[in-house]
Amino acid sequence: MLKLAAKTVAASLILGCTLLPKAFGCASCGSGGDDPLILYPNERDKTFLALGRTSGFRNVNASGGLATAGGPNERENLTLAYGHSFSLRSFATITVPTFRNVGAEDAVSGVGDPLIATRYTILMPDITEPLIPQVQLIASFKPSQARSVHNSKDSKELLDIFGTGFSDARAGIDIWFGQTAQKFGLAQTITQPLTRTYDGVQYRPGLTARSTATTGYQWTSAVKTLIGVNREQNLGLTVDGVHIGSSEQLNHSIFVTQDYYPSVSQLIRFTISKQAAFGANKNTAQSSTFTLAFQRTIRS
Amino acid sequence: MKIKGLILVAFMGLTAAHCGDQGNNVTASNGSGSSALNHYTAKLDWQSPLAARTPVSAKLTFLASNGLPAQSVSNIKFNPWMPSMGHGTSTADQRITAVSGTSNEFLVTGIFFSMGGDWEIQLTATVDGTTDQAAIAVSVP
Ligand SMILES: [Cu+2]
Repeated sequence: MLKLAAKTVAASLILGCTLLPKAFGCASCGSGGDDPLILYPNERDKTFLALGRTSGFRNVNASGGLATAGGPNERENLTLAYGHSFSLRSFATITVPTFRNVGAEDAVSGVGDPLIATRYTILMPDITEPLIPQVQLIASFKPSQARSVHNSKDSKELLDIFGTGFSDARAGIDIWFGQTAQKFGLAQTITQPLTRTYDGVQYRPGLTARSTATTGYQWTSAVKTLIGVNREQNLGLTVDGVHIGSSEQLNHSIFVTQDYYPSVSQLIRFTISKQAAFGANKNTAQSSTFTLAFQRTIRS
Repeated sequence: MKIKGLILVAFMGLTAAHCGDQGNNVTASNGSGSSALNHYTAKLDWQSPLAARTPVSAKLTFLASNGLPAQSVSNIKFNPWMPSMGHGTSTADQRITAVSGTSNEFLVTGIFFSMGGDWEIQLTATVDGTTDQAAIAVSVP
């Protein structure tokens, strides 16, 4: 009983001290994709700002062959996010991306689809049990408000496209072994886009499954490197009730993240990622992204 | 033993072919398609190297169901569509003109594929008095 109490006290102390960024984290938050902001248990509020640049766009067709991409030659993005925690175990974030699509002759700026995400920690990491991971449940919703390929007014250059054209709901699980210097994590999410009609034609995109495997190393209390891979598979498009053959999508991407904590309440994060980077890919796009992000924590 | 070896070689060949897919560029080709009710076959011959994001031209030839040149063709609709993504492209600059001295050949200019990948031409035409639809697959590099 005494031992258990001591354990609990030790764990609470750890929660409140500067070791936190070491122990907590997530498998999917280094991927440079959505859900970019994570709050640790003792963080009440957190702000996030990221600047990114994506280039090297190539389309990948149904048999994996590379073809000319549509749209911008380069896409710059500025993403703002805010997170608030409701308890030791739960938090929610709102993320708003803005883009500047740079074409051969001109550039168009716009706001992307906002993302509302929540996480609930069902299993907290225990400093005395490094083999027990942190386990989080993920739920998010992305309302579609940005223009997409289905309603672009620039049907030649496609520079006014800032979203997918479909709202979507996502659920998932994130498992993170973050207690030792060597880190490891796995995440799995399922996304269901909502059916939508454009010009009298009904589009129903299929379910998307995304798996992430991440590993990393904590060099010092202020420096951490993460490397990971994503596999994203989509079941394809159904148009007016007819499933389009060979519209299934597959994308294997890779990311490398370098974290630096100038102080316990600040994080600077560099991420390099490449879409359709390895293995089989189909009906997707290849590109490379470089992102610099700043996070600032307001503790309770 | 021999069969085992063959299977192994075949497997290695398949794997190599699969790996080779990645990074290969899409190659353009001419194509044809039969109409839904089999009233005609339409044939597309690209007049210039097929490319994305630049206007291209094609010769469109209609054959009747007996394989002979169609006697009369009218009301041609030529709609490039990308099935896997569910979108079309601008057809504002597209022009369809009959090739003089023929009853079944047309030149389509100003075709604009907004990106590379797997497209299809959704075609509607009245051929020898019957209106029917056809789709012609196009791999745009
Ligand atoms: Cu497309």
